[in-house]
Amino acid sequence: MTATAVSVPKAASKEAKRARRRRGGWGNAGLLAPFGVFYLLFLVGPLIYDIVMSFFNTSLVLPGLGSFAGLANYRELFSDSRFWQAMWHTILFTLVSTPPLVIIPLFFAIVVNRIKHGQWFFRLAFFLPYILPSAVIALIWTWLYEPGYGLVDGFFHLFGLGAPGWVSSPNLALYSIVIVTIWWTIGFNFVLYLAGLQDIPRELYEASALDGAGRWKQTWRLTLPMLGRTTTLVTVLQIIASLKIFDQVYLITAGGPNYATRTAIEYIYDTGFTSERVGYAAAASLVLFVVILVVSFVWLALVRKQERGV
Amino acid sequence: MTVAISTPWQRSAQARSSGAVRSGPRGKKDWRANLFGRAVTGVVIALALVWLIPVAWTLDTSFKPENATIVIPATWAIPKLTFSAYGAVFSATDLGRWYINSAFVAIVVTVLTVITASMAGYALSRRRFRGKAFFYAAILAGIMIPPQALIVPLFREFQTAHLINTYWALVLPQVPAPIAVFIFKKFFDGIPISLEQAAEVDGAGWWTAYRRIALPLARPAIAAVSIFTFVWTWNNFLWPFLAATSQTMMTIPAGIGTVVSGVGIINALQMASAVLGALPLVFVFLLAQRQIVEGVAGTGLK
Amino acid sequence: MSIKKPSARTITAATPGPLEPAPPMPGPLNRRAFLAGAAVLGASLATAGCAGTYDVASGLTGSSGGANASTLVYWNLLSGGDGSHMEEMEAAYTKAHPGVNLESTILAWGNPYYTKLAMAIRSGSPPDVAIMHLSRINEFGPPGLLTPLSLDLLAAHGMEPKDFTPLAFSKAHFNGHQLAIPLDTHPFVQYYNTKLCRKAGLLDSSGQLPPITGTQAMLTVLRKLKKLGVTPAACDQVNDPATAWRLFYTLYSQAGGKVLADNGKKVVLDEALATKVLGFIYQMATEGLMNANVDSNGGTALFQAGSAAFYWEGEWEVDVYQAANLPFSMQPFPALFGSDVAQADSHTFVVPRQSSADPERLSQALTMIRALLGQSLTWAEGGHIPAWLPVRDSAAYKKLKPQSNYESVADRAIYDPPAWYSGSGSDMENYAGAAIGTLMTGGLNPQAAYQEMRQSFETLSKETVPV
Repeated sequence: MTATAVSVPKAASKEAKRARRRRGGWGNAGLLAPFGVFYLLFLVGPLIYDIVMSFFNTSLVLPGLGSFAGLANYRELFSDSRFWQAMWHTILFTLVSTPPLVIIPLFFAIVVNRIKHGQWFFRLAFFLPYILPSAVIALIWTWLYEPGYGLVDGFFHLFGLGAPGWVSSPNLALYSIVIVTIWWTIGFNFVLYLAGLQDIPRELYEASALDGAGRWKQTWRLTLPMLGRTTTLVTVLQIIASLKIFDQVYLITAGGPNYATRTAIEYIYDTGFTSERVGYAAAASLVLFVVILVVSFVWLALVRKQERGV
Repeated sequence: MTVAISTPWQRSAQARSSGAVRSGPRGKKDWRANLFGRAVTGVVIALALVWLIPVAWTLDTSFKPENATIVIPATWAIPKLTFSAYGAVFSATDLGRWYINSAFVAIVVTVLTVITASMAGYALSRRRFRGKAFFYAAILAGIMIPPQALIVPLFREFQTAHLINTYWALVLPQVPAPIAVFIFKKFFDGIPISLEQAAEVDGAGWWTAYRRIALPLARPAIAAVSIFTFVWTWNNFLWPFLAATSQTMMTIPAGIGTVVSGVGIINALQMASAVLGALPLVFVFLLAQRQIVEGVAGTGLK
Repeated sequence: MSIKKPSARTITAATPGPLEPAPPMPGPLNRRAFLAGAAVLGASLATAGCAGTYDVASGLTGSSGGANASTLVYWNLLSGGDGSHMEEMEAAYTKAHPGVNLESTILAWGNPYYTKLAMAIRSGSPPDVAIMHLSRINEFGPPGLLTPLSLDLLAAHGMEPKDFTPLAFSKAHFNGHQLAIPLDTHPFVQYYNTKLCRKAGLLDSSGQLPPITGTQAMLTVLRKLKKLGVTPAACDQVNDPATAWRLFYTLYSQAGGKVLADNGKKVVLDEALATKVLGFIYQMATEGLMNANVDSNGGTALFQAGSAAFYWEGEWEVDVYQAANLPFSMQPFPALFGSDVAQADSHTFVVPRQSSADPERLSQALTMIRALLGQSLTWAEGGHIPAWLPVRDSAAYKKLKPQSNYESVADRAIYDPPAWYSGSGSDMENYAGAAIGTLMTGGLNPQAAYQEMRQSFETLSKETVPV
């Protein structure tokens, strides 16, 4: 009798101990802490610092927060034509570069997907640029666009045509950078689409073929709708990445000519690091952050609707 | 696999069978469509070749002597193949040092990211504790923060700590990656809990369970996170550009983008430095192509 | 083991950015991939090993060149022909001082250079010596970014005030301290093609172009040259706001005008004078007497090919034309609006403020500066007027033609108006130069260009001063 009476409580306590251990405080802290520390110090902390600095006249070359500015930075920002020019360049860049970067890789993926052998070649050709660092891209394309000696000018010369100033003409420079960006980043979207295509079950195509649908109709009525979610994803990723653009613009045109290609991030860099007005740059950073946040939320809502609707 | 869109063909196909999942339409009956299809394929092949031109031109220029690069119009012909541009890169810049810095930073960041993110992901997946939902939401919210908006306060932070132009500055800000935490969490969610329960019966604590059970099982996630973190850290330009003020601390992108290499006519030299700057990652790409592409591909689905 | 992929919504904002990894996804681990990574690392280290000794410790503590006591870190923004000359001078120094390892870095000209320099100084890891344009002293002086150099210290290293061009040396004196040591003065000048000028009957008996005085005289000369079927005068402004600014500022200063006052807090740009000067430039542009539709490479090429009779630019292109065996000469920029002053700037040596004062390194830095100054003849070959008087007054320099033709301009150089936002390659030059440049191709009329310039200055003058 006594034996059983003793064993049951023991088993129960062991179970309870296990349960407590799984809930155990120190273990959780231990697991979360390392990430948490980095997160607070280098993501959340700076964000808060950004907010604080935006209310001061902080200088890059002077210590401390500087004099209190209240809302002066924001007021100046909203009447600063150069800031809004930079925002406009960013938005224009996004508007011009997103459609090609969504449609062209889709087209490539659909075609390449039907090729039985040698898909590796296309993957290499389109995706290789994507892994190159932006500094390398800038070197390659500055040389390609070089007036006179560059290959692009040489190509025009082949047809006896004169070439415009690819990166020296204020009207053309931004579009030259769009071309660079398309060349550079198309591989990422291409691969996304390929994966999406490969997820479409074969029997759907078989069924449609039996119903007499030709290739064109299949693509239009079957492939494209099934890629809807992938396309939405590609589009939004593309938009958000474009809003944050900096590298290739800074390295190829440095925001020129005459600031015709300066983007929002570069404006923040110029104000904070070149003009040394760190508090003002912080305010600009936050405005940009809000814009990106809004776009992200719009997409979130879009996706929710998509998931729910279909 | 759930297919979201319901088309008449889908319904009929589902009714018909559940066959192998492979893509590829069929329809050879229409010769006009066939010809059109072939033409379209031809166009794509041509464009793929066009896509390779910039890289080919870079290589071509890098093997020319400098005065052969300033001919109008530009020509592919190499009058005298030479490696002098490559030699000049090493004497004109600190490229060797940049390689070391890039490798060091990329490896350390990758290791730290994998460790911290996998631990956090594990905790969020397996552990029960108060406020777990709050932490999870906080980390997810972090995904929304664009790091470019933080360059100013980050610089200030390190400047105040007198750590600008050190490895600390290059490595630390690149470690926190909320998305990696999320990936690991989802991954751990998919692992049956029975294995750990068995371990706990044997008296294992949380750390041992994490180290001996969860981590080995997480190899696929670790591989993918590692590769991507490595590539992205290596290619990062903006932050190293700000944080490294002397040539000896720069990573490859920062060095190439900041330092004017050489004097006089330096086109071949610049192309050689482009090639050298890209080489390590091209190797990684060629050898780990499948992992990288699969990683990217997996991103978008579901 | 099946792996559940993350839902699309969380991938939203996980766009690959500089500071975060791209959304990674599980995939089978491949031993090959690991080996690949190891191979890459090994290759990098092997290649890196070829190029010197590496000090990881310095990477952790942030002491750059300073960790290695015998390394002198020297930054400049001199590329192209200037870069070659500077390299020559450095070589002479290192030969004479084998114990010192000189680490010289060339950074891109303009704002990027000064941004990097300021950031490096404020972050505690600056170079030991750096080149700075004299016009930037209002940006670097006030916040204490430069080490003051006492006259005694300079004398101890063989440099005395009397050894330098007085104007440049005095401008490098700031708030009671000597902050910079001038290397040269580089003014805006006029290059002229002697062959074309002779054809137009413009040269005097000694084969030189007599000084052109007054705007009417200049217009007459340019019209004569135009009849030859060449570009009378080339002056670049495409992607080159600095040159546009220099042209305007030279003429405006000749007319006696001032731009800024009160250290840049006040804009005193004179509308009448400015529009008069801009009007003259506009006239030359619209009459086809000046081609400004070129960038600096294009303008140089135009003159080099003999397609332009005059070239208005800084004097540093002389190497290029001599190498091309072009028949040309140079002279001070003509006095068109009364006086014969010209816009100029000076390259100077500065010793950035270090985090901890080290008299030994300071001494090494000054020794290097003195050594480079001694090489000023090499520097002068590149077109600059040496600030080091022992060379500037020497017979060897006077023999350098055409470089010594404009030597007297150093004493009547007009530097950019003092302001924290002014100086070579500064925002002020960029904004004003943009407006002037557009006028130079006829795209803006004088009044409009003046308004734009004024607006830019006003905006800059109102910004809170960060220094």
